Amino acid sequence: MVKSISTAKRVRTPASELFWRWCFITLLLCTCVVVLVPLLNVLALSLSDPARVSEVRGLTVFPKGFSLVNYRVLLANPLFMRSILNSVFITVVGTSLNLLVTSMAAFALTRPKLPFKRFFMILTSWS
Amino acid sequence: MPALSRRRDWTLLILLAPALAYFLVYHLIPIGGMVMAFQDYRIIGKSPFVGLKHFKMLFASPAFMQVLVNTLIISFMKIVLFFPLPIVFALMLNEVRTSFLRKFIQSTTYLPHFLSWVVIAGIWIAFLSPSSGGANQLRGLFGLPPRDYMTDKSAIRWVLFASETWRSLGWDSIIYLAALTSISPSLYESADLDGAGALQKMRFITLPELLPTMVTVFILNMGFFLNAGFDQVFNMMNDSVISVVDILDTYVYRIGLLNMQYSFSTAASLFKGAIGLVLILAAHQGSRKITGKGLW
Repeated sequence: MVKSISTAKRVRTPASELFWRWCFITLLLCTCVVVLVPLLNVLALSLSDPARVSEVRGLTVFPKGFSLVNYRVLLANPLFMRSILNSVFITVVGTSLNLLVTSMAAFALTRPKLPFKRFFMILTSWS
Repeated sequence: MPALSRRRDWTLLILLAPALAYFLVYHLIPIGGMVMAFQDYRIIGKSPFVGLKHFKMLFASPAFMQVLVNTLIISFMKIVLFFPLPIVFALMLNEVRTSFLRKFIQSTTYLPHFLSWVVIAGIWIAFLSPSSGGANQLRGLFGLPPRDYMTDKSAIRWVLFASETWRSLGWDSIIYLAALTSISPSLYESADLDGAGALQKMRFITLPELLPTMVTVFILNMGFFLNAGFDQVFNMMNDSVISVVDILDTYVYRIGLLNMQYSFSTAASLFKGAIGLVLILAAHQGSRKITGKGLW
């Protein structure tokens, strides 16, 4: 008897609350659709068979036919490979240097023994 | 405190040195370049000092005034109008109890944040294209004639607002979601015992608990009011709408680097910097008053 009351209490959610919850879920899923459709459209364009690419309209999310020829051309382009390498280089070297410099500075800035601490704190946060 | 622990440790400066060198080279030395705003700058030879000539030209120029108005309008849309959207988003998402749905919605809406504006501009220009874009396909479903949003002066600012929302809505809601999960459940339990409805719980518990976060986010954004987003505007603007979307940063870039009027564009940039400094200081004071914590 006692057990059934406690489970009933746990499960019960007011009908109005459930209604609103479903409204919210619907709205949020609509947001997801708005975010995804343009992205999937671009993906569909890039994967479509070049002969059928004119069939891909603005709201198409699945490729028409399937072909990787665009990617093959892109990867064969030396300029593209160069720019990819540049991006990777900048990201890897930049991030490691950044981490090194900022962590060293952060360590120093948190020590109370640092000379002119207040001055440096203001300087670094006024970037 | 004992005298020993107060002693200065000069070796710590070695750790700080690379960061200081960075600040010196990229932040302090360039300040000297501001002198260009008061000169007729010449690349070769001596630049004569002309005082406030470029500032007078700046404020007399109708183009600059238009640029200033554009910056204020676009910033207002992207900071003030956009402000409640992530809050509403987080509040709605907080009601979703199904873990799978919640994760799906979160991952999906965070996605555009990781794309650069160059890519987003490409996607949006394709999506809004009058001939093949998804937006006009939708309009067609309702029997409306196609419309070219990207070259329409009355629509382009809303395109900027919409693309900013599209990119940042999910990401900016993270901070509010975190604030929502840190609200003590006991507050809601006692409200339930007092017979409070969902709206009352929202009004008397959720919103007051979220207020400090909202104030901090808003004030921090206000400090960047004159920025209005160079990357976005630069990638989405075109010659037919340039008069309504040209902002301070794009204007300074065009006049200074493309037309090579270095002194004039430095004056514009300096003006922006001065207003920006005032805004940041005001944001700092405001934040300290309201949340007890400054920006530095």
